[in-house]
Amino acid sequence: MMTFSLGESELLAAINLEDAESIVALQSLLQWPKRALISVRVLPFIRPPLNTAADVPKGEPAFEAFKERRSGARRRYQRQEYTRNLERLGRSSGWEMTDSGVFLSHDILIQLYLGNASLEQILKYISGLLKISQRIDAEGIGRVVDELGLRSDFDLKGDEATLMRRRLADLSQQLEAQGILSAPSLLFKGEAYLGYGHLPQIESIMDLELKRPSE
Amino acid sequence: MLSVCIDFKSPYAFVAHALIWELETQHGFVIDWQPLTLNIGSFLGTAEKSNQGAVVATNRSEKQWTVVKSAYRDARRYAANQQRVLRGPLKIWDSSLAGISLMWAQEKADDRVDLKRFMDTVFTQFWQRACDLEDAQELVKHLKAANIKTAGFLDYLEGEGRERHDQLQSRLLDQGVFGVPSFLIRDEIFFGREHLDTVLWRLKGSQGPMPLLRFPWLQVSAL
Repeated sequence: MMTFSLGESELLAAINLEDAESIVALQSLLQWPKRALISVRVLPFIRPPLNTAADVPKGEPAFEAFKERRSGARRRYQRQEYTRNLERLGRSSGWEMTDSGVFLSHDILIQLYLGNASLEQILKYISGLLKISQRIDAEGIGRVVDELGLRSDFDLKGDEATLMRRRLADLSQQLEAQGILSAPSLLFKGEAYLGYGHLPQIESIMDLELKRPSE
Repeated sequence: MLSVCIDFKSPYAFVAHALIWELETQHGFVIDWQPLTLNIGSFLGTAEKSNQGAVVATNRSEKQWTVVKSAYRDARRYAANQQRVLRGPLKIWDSSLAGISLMWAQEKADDRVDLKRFMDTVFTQFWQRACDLEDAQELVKHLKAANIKTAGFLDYLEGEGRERHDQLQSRLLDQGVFGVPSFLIRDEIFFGREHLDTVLWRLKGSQGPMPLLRFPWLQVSAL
């Protein structure tokens, strides 16, 4: 089992490669002026999309009808936001992943984390994935990692696949215990931040620390 | 035309409203404020607390509590950054009267400064647990304090205002508005204060690349 821990001067981005906003989050971190002062780490977080409405006890028909309408409104909104995120990535269409593509691509993210890969290296890997085709599968991922000089002889029909799935599930559980609820999220000094837009606040925390007299 | 949907009982709307007003006061885009009265029980379950803060009734799941607590932690950080007090409500309020009051205030205020004052007072006092959003007389008091006429207000609350409010809720849901603050520019919706930069970019004609999301954090130079 992989045990995850984050240092005091590290900022973690928890992402999901199936999600356009997660990739935008990494690009945002790449452009972040404070990045030079902090170690940015990236790990996968794979959970079904957060839907708290699903836990609401069933009620009267009118209440249920309202819940359904609200869910419909939320879905319509999410489509708009998805399109905007694709525009931010300079794309006109999205992508999808096969089942094995999902756990293999995220397992490679874990390998990059363990190898202390830089954000640039991680984004190079992701950029390779997004160039495969609209449907990202294990074979395409193998070609990308091969080009990057990473190991590409995966056995996805045997124990290795089971191990990858377990590692991914364990990691997501550990991140959840840290307060991560969805991807993308940031984790800094033990505090979880939903979304990537909290960088100005994190900057402010960093500035305060710089001003604090050393002990 | 820019419309902004808010609900006085939303902590996110509370920490966003002053920043949203800047779209009008700093950039000149007049805001059509629209109340979206959240049915919190329909997506986060319900809960009621005693005056001491102990939960006395709830149907929330563990996941819903986690989300609620995380949302309040986040909102408190941003409230503190704006030197605002945010005390969690002890129950889920029916904020529809306050929403109808917002519609009234927008229509009757002689000056936008009065509307802004009314909104800021209701938000600020509610989040200090000093304003009963369900009390029509209290809303009258705040309208008067903001220099907004109140003749006919009580009839409006129960009649035309209620009707317009309820129709608006239905229309907003059909449009795809489900949370606050939401920004509407023609058919496009932006949900959350982190979209403020993108909203402004859109209002100014979408020149250059689309901005990334950013939660506004005020730099306090005195720190």
